[in-house]
Amino acid sequence: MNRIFRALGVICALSLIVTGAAFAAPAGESAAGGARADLNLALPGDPGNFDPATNWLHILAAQQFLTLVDWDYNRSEPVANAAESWSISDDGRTYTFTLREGLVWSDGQPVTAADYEYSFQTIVDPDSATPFAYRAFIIENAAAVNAGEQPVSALGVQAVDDRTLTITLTEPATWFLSSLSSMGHSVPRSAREAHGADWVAPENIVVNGPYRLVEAVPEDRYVLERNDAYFDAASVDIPRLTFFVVEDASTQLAMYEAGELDFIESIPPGELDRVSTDDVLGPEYYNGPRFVVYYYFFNVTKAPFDNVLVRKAFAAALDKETVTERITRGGEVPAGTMTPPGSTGHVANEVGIGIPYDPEQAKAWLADAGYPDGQGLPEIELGFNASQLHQNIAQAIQKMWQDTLGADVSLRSVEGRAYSVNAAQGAHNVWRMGWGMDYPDAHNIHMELFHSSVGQPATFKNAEYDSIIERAAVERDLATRQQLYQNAERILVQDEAGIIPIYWYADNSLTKGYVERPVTPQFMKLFKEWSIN
Amino acid sequence: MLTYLLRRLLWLVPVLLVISVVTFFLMHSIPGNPFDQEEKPLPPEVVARLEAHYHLDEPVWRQYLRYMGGALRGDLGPSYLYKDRSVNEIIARHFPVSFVLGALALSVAVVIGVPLGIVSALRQNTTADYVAMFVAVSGVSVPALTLGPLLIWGLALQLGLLPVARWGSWQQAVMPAFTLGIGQAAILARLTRASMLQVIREDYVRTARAKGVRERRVIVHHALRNALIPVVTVLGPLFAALVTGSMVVEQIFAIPGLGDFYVGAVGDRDYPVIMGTTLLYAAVLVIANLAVDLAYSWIDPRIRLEAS
Repeated sequence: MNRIFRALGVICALSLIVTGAAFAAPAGESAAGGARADLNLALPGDPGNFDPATNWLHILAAQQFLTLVDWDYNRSEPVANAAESWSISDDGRTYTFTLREGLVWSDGQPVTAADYEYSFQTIVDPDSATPFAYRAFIIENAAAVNAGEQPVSALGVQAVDDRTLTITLTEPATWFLSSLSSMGHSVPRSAREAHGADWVAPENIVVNGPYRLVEAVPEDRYVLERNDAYFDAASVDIPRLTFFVVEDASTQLAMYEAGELDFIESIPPGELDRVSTDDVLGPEYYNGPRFVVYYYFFNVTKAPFDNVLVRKAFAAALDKETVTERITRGGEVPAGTMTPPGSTGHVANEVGIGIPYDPEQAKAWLADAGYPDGQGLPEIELGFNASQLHQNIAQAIQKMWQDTLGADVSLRSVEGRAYSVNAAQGAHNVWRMGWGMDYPDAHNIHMELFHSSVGQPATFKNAEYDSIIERAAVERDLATRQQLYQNAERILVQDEAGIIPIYWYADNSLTKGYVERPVTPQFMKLFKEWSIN
Repeated sequence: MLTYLLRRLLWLVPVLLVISVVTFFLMHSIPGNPFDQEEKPLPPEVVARLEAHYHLDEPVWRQYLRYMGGALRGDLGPSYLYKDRSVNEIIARHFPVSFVLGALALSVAVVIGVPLGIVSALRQNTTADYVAMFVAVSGVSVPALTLGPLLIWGLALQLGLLPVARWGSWQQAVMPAFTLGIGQAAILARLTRASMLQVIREDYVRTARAKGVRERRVIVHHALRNALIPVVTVLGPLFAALVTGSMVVEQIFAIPGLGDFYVGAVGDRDYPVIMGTTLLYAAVLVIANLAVDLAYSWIDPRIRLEAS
């Protein structure tokens, strides 16, 4: 034969050899072949480094490291975790935690109050560059430490003895225990110091939670096994969790249907109808509330939305039910206020706060503002971060505003992460945002998104609102606190209409029949509570 | 020959240098930084600290020098998104996967595309030609985004023949290699057909026939041999395109390749990853073209590589 055929033959042979070599090494166990006592799960992306003291809390970290307290989502109260009990000083500023007796790390070392002191110090240490360090700024001196003005030892977290930890706050904070359910996981000092960033690798990792990482193949799979050193290991039913990195929601669904995954929590919107009515999938489908809110910001620094009447008119012309029933269609709930149901400080739609859909009222407000039938209204730019869903919703709302108010609305889809920063600087007249709660307390929404100290130039600011949520942050009487958040919401979404809450997200998930799980609106699942029949 | 090879490899240096400058300044000119959050901006003092940590507060030219200094020593820097991973590690771990996938897809393209092109040229304007070209056009027209899920639905969910996704066994490689390779198979088929049609009208083919050489030998020995030369020429860029363009397929089939990093890094403004993958892919492209030029002289005796 001549050279040309040899050349083509060589190409094919080479690729077969390469392939053979690539697959000769024993691949991981096939997902479908695993014993049914294991749980196969999907991660939508690679976790990267999941050190909970230096990175946003990842689901892998949540299974492996103990917080001081957990949160009971049914009773809305903190429950013991690493700390068996705690007390709060009369001035509400000092929290004293008593750790459980006999807590140990997976390497056999005791878990002590000093471990928690070290963990909090690591969070605010400027060298850690922890992105959520600001969440700890309620702790005394945290902001100064993080700014490099004081040493980490100045932080208001002190190990009094092996089992006693005190945390001193800058001011009383009723929401603090709630926030501790997702922050302040203890990390092992000796492992961190010995291995640097690699301490989270399976061969180095030391944990104290219900599970421990035993295998990590970046971008492919992460395997956790039950940690026998965990204080309540006997009650952990599932011995092994395998997380496969599967970015595409359609692929996740196909893998679930093929039996390669046991639980998925992102279902492509276009598949919801089929999934919910399917003979097999229907009974495995769950739809419930979720701690995430979808909302629109107004640029209050520029005409026409510097006029409250215009903001109110646009809010009243937005039919949220059409959005949830015709576009998202996944059981989302139209939101009258910001804070999602199930969290402390939530104001139910029934209370009647917010601006309901009312086209006539919308027209009247717009006319009062000096734009009868939209005459003289400048072109409105509606910005959203590039996504098919946001685009569909924006198109629907564009039409609502055009039909009801005669507004000329242009859509602007923005790629990349700079979106939120530029939007807050005033890049658009009105723009889309979403917020998933870090902990189930209204403080997490009001203080971190809308207080004027957040410093977003183009967004709603109101001194009265600021003072109400500042009071709510320190108020210890639950009923009074609830009333304060109700007043705050009234200013935010009704009287000042600084934003338009649109809907609260829904949890759309599929769980195989042999898996039993508690149902909560939190998205950080804790698999120690799950079991397999 | 050796001089030629050396000279071509030396050319890699200025090519990569120019690409590095253009990429570096382009990516720094896009608004946003790696520490922007999706939902809520970080406090400015936190961003400032993060930027200082990674020297992003320095002038861009100094950042470039700092980067190139490291790159010349073989250190492509840390990933901003995956804090504990260096770009070297990311490439070492994920590029081989994309490489294997690309090689498999190229085999699919050659094995399907070339015979299809030959058949349709030899049976020009018959049903076989139309069918082959219909298949080829379909292959180009159906995007991976459609073909991938369709294959999953048919072969994995309905027939249960193959696993849905992931990477690690030959069964898991079948659907992604086919999805990625089929479009290129179509291109090869059309190219082979056109080239074959041209060659079988050449004088030497007529001469061979006039001499009474058997038709089979005329086609295989005289026509095909020459018709495939342009086909081999495109295999280099084709391979480079398959290795670097597998992002969508990797995403659909949950394959831990480099494609996702390549595209994702731009959205995440993960500067060192953008630089590392761009330079790598540029090198792949240059080397693939070089390999083709070398193969070319071997296949076609009329071509001699000159050092000057």
